[in-house]
Amino acid sequence: MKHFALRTLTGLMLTTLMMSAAALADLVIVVHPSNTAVIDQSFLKNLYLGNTRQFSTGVRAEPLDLPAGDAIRETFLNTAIDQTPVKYRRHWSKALFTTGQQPPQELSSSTAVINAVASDPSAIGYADSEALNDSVKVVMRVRL
Amino acid sequence: MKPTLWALIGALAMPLGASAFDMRLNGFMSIAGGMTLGDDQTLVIDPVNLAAYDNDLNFATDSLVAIQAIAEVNDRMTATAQMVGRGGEDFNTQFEWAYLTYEATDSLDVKGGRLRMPLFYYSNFLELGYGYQWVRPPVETYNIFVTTLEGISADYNFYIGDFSAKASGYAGSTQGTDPESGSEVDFNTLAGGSLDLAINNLSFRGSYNKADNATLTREVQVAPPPNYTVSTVGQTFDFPIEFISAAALYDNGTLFTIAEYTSTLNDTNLINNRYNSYVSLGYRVGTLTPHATFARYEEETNSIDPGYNQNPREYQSATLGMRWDFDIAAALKVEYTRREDTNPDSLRAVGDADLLSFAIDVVF
Repeated sequence: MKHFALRTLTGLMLTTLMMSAAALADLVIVVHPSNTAVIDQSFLKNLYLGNTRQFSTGVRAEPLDLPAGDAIRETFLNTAIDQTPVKYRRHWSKALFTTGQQPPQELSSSTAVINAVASDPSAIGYADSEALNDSVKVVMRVRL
Repeated sequence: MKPTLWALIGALAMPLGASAFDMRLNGFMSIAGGMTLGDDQTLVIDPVNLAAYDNDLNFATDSLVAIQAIAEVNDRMTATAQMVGRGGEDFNTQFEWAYLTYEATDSLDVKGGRLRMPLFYYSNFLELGYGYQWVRPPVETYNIFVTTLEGISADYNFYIGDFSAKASGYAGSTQGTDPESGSEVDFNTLAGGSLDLAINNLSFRGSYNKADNATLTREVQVAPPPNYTVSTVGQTFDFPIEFISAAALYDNGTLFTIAEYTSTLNDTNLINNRYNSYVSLGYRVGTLTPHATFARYEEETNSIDPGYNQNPREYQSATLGMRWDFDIAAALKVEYTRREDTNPDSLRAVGDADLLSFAIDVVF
């Protein structure tokens, strides 16, 4: 009996966890509300690897990153721009020390990314949808 | 390490909070060691300082530290400085880079100041151990004793069909002392261009570099009349030189290979023409990367005046190594190199050597 109760409880907790996970399990790519640029996967890849520095509108683009080791960042690297963390790090180390090109700026959290994008028309970033509010425009959504 | 280096780091680090510039500090470091396995074996690995390994374990030769600072002057302009201190030179620091970059358009960058001499594929990041599989790029090819120049360069990125391409051009001047002969070489104008092409897992790079009005100054002993006292005077010769390189790379993330062929041509009797090449193959298994490389160095005498010809040297080496990425920003490398002097016995110059070396490379 005791076992059954415990199992039910565990089951309930797991279901709750999974449900809440499903509810907030999105990664969003966000830009400033005034930004009308076309943003697709190949643009993201070119921007985050430093092959381009501007939006399709010709406006300068400032990509934002989350810190190395962050789970959202790893998802972004893997799904949005087709990079493993090591490959991405190697690419930027090489670029930084061969051409002086700088990697995307790292911010500490999804909330910091949302705030930075909300206040800067040239910024673009990715964040956990949990941190989302209507001060920014979502241009892409990735299911986690 | 020299206190001057730390003073410079301190000086660079200070404006971080105080200045209006947005500045980033980065760097890389290699702590390396090695020794040859035979009593009489030496192997030169640093052409700038002629630093070599011999039969005693040595931790200085391949070790180095580099600090790089990038400051954003404005939206389109950045200032970049990179200092490198090499163990083979007692960690005395040299500015390898000190330049301004101007982003003219989204695809065109113009740089001016002290730049790397971008002769061959690895010339731009010769010291960045983290960026390649070996303890050092093959010395059969990377044996030029000048690494920087003062001048301007332009990089233009574009697409040709499915190929992404980068065309670069530069012009500048530089000088250096050949540590082997003591001759001073002055590249009054060195200019060149390169083209990089990439498609999927394949990339190619070709470059051509030329210094038409370079000079070489050598000390010669003369005994002029009337009293024929022997004295040493510097004698300057024209020293036109060309550097050519072609490289091909394949990297599918797991298996990678690179081959490069370079030649250094000189239309005088002052040095022999050089034809150098290497091919390397590596395989990434998790954090481990075993790799194998074959490299060859050949010289050819210029037959302009056979009386002055120097004996052409030729040698080759095979290297087997392992890179272990024990952290995202750090790698440990161990490798074994077997070099053979392939000249006939009477002309042997560099000799055979077996070298065991290792390095820890970090970026920060």
